[in-house]
Amino acid sequence: MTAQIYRTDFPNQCRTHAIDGVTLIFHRPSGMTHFLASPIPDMLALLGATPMNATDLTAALCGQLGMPHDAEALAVVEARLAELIASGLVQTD
Amino acid sequence: MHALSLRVGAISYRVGSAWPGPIAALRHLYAGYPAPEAGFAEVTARIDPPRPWRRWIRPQVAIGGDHSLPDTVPMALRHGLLAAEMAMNMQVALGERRHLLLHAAAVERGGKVLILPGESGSGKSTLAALLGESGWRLMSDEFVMIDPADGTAQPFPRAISLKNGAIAEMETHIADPARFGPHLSQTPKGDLRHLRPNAEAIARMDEPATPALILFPSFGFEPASDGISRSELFARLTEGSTNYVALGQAGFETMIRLAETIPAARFAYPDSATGIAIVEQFCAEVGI
Repeated sequence: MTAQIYRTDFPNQCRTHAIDGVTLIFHRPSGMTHFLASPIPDMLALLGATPMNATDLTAALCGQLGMPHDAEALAVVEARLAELIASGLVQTD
Repeated sequence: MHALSLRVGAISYRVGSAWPGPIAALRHLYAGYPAPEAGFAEVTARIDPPRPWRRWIRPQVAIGGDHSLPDTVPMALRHGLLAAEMAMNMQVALGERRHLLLHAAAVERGGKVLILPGESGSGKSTLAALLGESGWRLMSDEFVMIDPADGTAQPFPRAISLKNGAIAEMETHIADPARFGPHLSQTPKGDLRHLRPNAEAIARMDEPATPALILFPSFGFEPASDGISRSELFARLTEGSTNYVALGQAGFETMIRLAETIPAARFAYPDSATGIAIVEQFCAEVGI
């Protein structure tokens, strides 16, 4: 699972707008609108810059947010990635 | 085939029916509305028997036109006027691409538009109808059309659909019985009667105005009001728009502009007089 590489077409194929502390994303390829709360936009930005596996994404995200990089954080990131795949914002190789 | 052509704001209709009765009722209800420009209607709405024998035996009307929904349930012919109205609504709900549609009523005063979104039963139609008879111009009862180019609201003053208790209330306010359609009892939406907007609303159907306030009414509760966050406003307007997805990014941009720039609130009210007082209080605060 953690070896799988995740990628996204964010931000190139997205129009984003911050509103009330959440991020609205209009995803042009699907025509869908998404309401995203932190840290999802941060995850998308990291994956948009560099496709990576869940372990590396967790390390990068925790480093960016100043949080400990542990198994609990990895489980949360994997759960959010599963949701992002279901929504079409993230793809796997 | 019996037919009527008319224009309501940006939409020009040709309404067809296998029976003369619903078209005659529609012609009476929309007396004074202009014909389509150059004689060409852009939208076709139809009510026809769902099966050939249903034209004669226990007659039923099915709603159709340029756009149709496969699971629409046929209605009794005695509710033909309601079916024609629903067919006209459906063509706009499913086919309109030039404007972002909001499921809302709207009234205008001094060039500023008050938008009243809400589900059936929220009281938006009754409030808009009452305001439209007391110093406001009725712009819309069912769909508010927002121009993506500049964010203005385009009038769409279709007949107002009064339901249940609102019928008697409006009958006491409006002296001219010719403005009302027939009483339709025990329809799928309850008892119902249509009301033609007043002459000013019809005469000014081509005058857009600027949205200035969005209020979500809830009829039948003790008076209360509360603010709405911009993100909730975006979500609620989006879920009430039948063509938001079809407009793509233009719909997103238009909705963002509304959510970011128009003050919004929700309020509850137990009766129309209280509801109008609350509306006027909100309007005074934003300078309408």
